[in-house]
Amino acid sequence: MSTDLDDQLAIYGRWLERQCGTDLRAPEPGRIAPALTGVPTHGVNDMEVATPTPQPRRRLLLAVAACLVVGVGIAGLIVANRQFSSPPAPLNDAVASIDPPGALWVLPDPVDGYQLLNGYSLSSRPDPESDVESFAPNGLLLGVVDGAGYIGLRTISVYVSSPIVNGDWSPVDTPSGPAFVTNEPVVLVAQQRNDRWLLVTTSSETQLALDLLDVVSIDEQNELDVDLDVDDLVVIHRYVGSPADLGYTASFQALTVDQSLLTVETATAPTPLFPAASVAERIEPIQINGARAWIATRADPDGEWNALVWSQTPNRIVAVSGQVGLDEVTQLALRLRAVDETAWKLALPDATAD
Amino acid sequence: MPIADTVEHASIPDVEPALIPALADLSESQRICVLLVVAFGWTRVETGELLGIDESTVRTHLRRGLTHLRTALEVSTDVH
Repeated sequence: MSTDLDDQLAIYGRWLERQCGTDLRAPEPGRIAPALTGVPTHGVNDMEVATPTPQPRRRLLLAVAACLVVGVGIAGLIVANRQFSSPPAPLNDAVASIDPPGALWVLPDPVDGYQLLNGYSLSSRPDPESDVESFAPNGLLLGVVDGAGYIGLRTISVYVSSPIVNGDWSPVDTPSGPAFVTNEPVVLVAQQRNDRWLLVTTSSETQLALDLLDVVSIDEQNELDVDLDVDDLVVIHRYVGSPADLGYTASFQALTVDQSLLTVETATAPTPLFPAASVAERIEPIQINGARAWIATRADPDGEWNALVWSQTPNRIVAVSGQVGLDEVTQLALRLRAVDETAWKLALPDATAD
Repeated sequence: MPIADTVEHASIPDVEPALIPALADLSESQRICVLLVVAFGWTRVETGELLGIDESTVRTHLRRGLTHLRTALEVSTDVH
């Protein structure tokens, strides 16, 4: 019997495949390419709920999940399982790589059962000069593994100038040097490292943000490095450029007949993760219609807050949220369709704009 | 039912008996990363895409998982 670990795992893997009758080996190149990098084929008005169809990726995910359950008693590869237990969200490969020239306008279709109110749109983009001024080209979203999701969410970004511009900041000493903290609206911790600034954000305790400063370093190329052996901290997402490029926003609220209030927002952003992580206590990835989406949750004093967020295009995010159950959030998300600006403003005649 | 119980009676020819409980001791993320990368030949990037995590996180899960497995198998080998 070979005692080489790689050999042992390979033998075990072949046994698993035989037990499941499924090939679990690595997919062929491109077989599980991210769904959001597809070739554009249709306009944004084609955004519709796609009927789940068998896809190699999904079959593979299911096979992996099933076999790993059989083999080692894993409770489930929840990322894979969730996509089959969750209804499809309004994600569609056909529009995945198209960025509209302005805001992404969406409305529920049909609108029956919802009263639409508080429409708002923002038609400006952040000043690109200020982006270059304030952001160095990378940052991290980190968290602690919690089942199939993450808690203890923290973002850390590199600034070339001080991010301490507004709010009530207090000085605090940390093992890595002096820092400045503010707690409104979320926890922000800023610390200067040579000629750079680090900004940590979290919706959790201030100490989580401070702890991150102890394990993060920055090199001359502004690359962040984190000691991941601490506290089961993992990198959830690594970004390039500003994660908070929130120009071209369109939002409204939808009131249900039960008086539940949900918010729908579209915005310009390369990832939905940072807006979600900045206000959520927990996030969990799901796979819907071949694309990545995230469930974001938070326990508020007056009820649970749930959100479903995703990238409709590479630079347009959609978020549906409210102090309602995830089912209600999902139901509204499923109804969303892209419309033109005129239709959106007709449905929300009192909408304000900046 | 404890995870180990589900595999207690599994007979797997040529597999070190200590491997199965050692795998069961890993965290779910570590176990999936170890099996996909080492047993099935997935790349870390592919595994990260599947799990929705960064490649560096896959690397961390992999390192911790393999370290635990090696320790468990070394102990087992010494005993036998």
